[in-house]
Amino acid sequence: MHHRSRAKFSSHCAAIGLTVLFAAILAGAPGRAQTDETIFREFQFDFSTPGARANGMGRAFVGLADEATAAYNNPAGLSVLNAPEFSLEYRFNHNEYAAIVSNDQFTISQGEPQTAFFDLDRVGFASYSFSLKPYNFSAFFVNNLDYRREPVQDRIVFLENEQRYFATYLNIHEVRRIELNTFGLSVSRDFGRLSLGAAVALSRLSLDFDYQTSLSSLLLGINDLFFSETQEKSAKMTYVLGAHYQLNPKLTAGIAYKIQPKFVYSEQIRSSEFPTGAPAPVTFKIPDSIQVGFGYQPNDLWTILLDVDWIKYKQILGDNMTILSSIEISPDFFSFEAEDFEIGDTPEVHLGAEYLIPFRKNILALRAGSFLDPDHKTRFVGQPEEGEDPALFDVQGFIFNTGDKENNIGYTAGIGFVWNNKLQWDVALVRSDRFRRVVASFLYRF
Amino acid sequence: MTWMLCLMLLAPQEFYEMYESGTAKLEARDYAGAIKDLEAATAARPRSSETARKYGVQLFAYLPYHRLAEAYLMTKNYAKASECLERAYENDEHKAKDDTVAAKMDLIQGMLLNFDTPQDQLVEAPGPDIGPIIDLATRQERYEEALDYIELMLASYPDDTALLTLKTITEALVNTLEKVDRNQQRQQRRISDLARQARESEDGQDWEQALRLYITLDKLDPGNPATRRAIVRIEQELENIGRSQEDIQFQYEEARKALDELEKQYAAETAEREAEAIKLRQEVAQLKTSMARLPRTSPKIGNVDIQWSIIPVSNEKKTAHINADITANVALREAALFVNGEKVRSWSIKGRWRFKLPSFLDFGFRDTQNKLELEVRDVRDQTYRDSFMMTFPKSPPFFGKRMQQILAIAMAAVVLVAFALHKMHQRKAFRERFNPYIAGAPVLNEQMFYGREGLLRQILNTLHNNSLMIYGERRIGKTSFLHRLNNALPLIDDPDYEFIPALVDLQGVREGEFFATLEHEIAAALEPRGIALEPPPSPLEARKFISRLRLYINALKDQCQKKPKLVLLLDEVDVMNGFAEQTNQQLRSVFMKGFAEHIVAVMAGINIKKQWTSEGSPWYNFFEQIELKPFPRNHADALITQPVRGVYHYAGEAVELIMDLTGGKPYLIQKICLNLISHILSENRRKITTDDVKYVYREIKPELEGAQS
Repeated sequence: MHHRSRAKFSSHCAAIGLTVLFAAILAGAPGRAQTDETIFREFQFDFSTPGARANGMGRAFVGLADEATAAYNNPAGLSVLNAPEFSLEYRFNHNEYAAIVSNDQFTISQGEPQTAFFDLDRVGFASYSFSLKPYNFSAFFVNNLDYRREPVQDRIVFLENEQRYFATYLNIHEVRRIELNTFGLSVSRDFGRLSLGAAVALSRLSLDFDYQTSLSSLLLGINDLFFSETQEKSAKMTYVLGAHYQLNPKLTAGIAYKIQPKFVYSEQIRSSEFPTGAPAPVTFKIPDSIQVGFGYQPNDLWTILLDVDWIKYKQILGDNMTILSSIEISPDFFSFEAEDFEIGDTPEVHLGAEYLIPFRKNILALRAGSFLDPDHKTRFVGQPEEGEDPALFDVQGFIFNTGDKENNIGYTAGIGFVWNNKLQWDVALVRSDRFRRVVASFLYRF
Repeated sequence: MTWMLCLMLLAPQEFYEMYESGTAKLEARDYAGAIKDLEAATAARPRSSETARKYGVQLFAYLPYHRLAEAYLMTKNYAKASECLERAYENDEHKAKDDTVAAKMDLIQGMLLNFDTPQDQLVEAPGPDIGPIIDLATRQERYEEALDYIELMLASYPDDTALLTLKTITEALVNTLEKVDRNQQRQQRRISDLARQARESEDGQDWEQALRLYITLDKLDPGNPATRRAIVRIEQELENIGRSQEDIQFQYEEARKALDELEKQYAAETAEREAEAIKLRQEVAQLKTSMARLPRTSPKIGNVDIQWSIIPVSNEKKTAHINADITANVALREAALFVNGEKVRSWSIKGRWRFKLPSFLDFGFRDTQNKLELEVRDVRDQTYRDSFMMTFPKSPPFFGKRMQQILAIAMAAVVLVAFALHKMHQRKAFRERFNPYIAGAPVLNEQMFYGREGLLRQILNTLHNNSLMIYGERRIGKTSFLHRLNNALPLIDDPDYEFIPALVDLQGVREGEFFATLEHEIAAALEPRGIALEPPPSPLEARKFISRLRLYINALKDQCQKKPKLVLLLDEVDVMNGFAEQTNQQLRSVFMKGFAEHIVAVMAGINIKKQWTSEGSPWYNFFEQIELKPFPRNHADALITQPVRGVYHYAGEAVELIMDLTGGKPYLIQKICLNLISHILSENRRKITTDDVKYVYREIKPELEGAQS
């Protein structure tokens, strides 16, 4: 346990500390940001390489990055293009969100919530690339986050297993939109075997939701209500630097570094502490990332890819975490601190392969891959200090830490058809412990 | 860091970019540029492929070597062109799905063969082979490219009539086709103008004018869906603004009138254009026909070198390992191996310039003289042949097949004769009542002497320095054995001694005649050697005998190359038991004299042993004593069966019974066998059974028992 000084707010802090965690994820598999505002706990960023081709190959592509879908993830790879390309991706997502369940400390006695599902289908990416040798220029659009929920109303009563106390937890929310879109331009240039690329993009965050939680327990002496709502739009710059190098005719390596924006928006909150309501500034940091990949083509028909992605999830904690909620413990208010939360940022590994079957002037591509995405959920790990009620920490851990802390292992498969080296259709199926996705994309070479 | 940066900056472009650039330059006839880029491409990626990977999911036909060959050919670097063409074939570029690649390679091959002749011999060389160029023009209709090849060839064959004619025709074709193209473009421009006017009228909402123009356009360019859609669209617009069907129909009428006007206006021009088009088409057809009819010289012959490797394996079986290496300066199509005119195998080797025949191990030839031929065809169907004579040495007569047959027949004849002789011998023996057994008399015939071989060797090894006493019961064969010794001793090839036996039978010899008898038998033994003394005095005393014996031995010493060893074979020495001891002492003293080295004795008797074992005996410790025992069963079996083998036959049980009854004593065996033969002969039989043995044994039992006692 780390040392900290816990603040007690007499006038501006209260109840359960909720974290606004942002970000997540990898350029491979979606990640989650969690707070006790379940809307933040549940949604997913997606920094994986767009396009069904990359998704079919274990979501690895940084080491190859040889088509327009790489404009965002490693623009350096696009310097090999010698004809304009247009690509468009459409994706179908099915996400599962773990609900609060009884454990060895608490038992839900009423209103056990069910595992939540969320389906979304939309355009995920589009790009246009053209080359003026030795330069390549691209314009792209990528959706990193699109989260919407029908109105949700969960009310549970849970009992401490030694029957010392019980509590009631209410969670009501409707998310009309939490969306992050990025529009950018990239340029790359080759210097023989070495290519360098950079992208400058505008990331636009849109939020529109209502949120309400309540935690009450007579035996613990708490009766807290928390309301928040926001309709905000904000835009910030994103930067991508990439390099691509041909080690030999069969082996290439790529590296990309993404500098993601930190948004600050305002939520209108109302709680026991602010019964008449007050605006609260919230920090929304999207984690930066470093991705390293290798592409190996032993012959003209086989491609094997390996990516290692390090997403700096820890950036979403610490100073970038906003605590909104508080618990009224008359006459004061108690809130948790950012240090009470932790998140893992072990790099992900992506491995994939592609095999081409030429026939006439066309090509059939078969793809498969796998990825290992270590656990990146934000966890409440706070421990009471002297004078603090341990029950508050136990309760917070119970309602915050949903789902198991396990690695997410995913498998991908894909198929592609290329007509006359011009028109390319790809479809990929991605299945993991946490989500399923079907990605369809097409690419046209002019 | 700087070094790495420079390396990166100087690093080559992607191979497909260089390939595409080289190909474009080749199309643009920038041959030097094409060579530079294509060489760079092949340096970055040497292997051709129909499915070479570009970036992304793109595969393309990467066939650089035939393009390089073409570029080098056009720059008159024939050696490099030939080298690149060879590599193109090695990389299977001729198998590309695009047929024009193989055709182009054939063309380059043909062109190169035209230039394969050294420059100073070109005047003497026959005309150029223009067939590939005609094919390029007529089959692929690539006239301008054909003109390039014609120009290239004209540099070497400036006065060749066929080539010049081909050039004229090709140029005319190019010009005519350009005219055809211009006409088509003119017509297209007219239609485009009309379409533009129609669109302008439509944009200006002059619907009637637009409708008329579109109807006209539909007549000039029938079937254009865009025009049809425009007509429907404008009719709708006319209806929208309240025009009736009659009004629209009126516009059709107006359009027809306008078209008529237009046709009148362009009638002359159209007629002229169509006439010109017909004329041009005819002209093109005529030119193509003329081109196809141009005389073609035979395709040039390449050089094909065939190195045979024939390794004989067996002259008798006429087998050899066959191998051959084919090296050519042209691309080959097929190779076939013939032996004595019969095709053994063929191989498809299209596009290869070298070929090593798969080895034929232990190939069997039928004849002594064989002709191996390799027939090779190149990609232009020219045939090359080379032969190799494989001659196996003739077999010596003995090993000849005919000789082997004669030998086999002779051997069969010999066997038959031998068999017949044997049968004759059998019949003769039977007829003559053949009975070889000897009972009573000593066996003097060596062929009838069986067994004792081990004993004989033992005695022969002992005789160098020792006298022997052979003892045994009566009828055990002592006398016969002494006779066998008497025959064997002269034949011994001893490195030191030459043995001279003297057999003395003492049976019935009186003591007073003893030494005279010895001297007589010695004299008889040495007489064949020409050694003789004056007749001895009578009676012959021991002293005189010893004196004469010395003379004999001296004579032998003079005669023999090795040391002489006189062996006295004394039979029935039991007689000496009755002699005075002095006589025995005198005999013994014979072996103690100075010539004792040259004399030994082998005595045979029954009881002498007992007499001479005391220390006072004259023969005490004088002899090595050897007992003569009955035959072991194998020797007895031999003595029973071998003498009559092939004439008579013993049943196995009969032999066993004889051995049991006789106890292996040779005399008894001979006795019973002698009577057995007589018995079966009396019954005119050849087989001896146990009943015969029992019968005979009963008959002669008293005699046998008497003999043993």
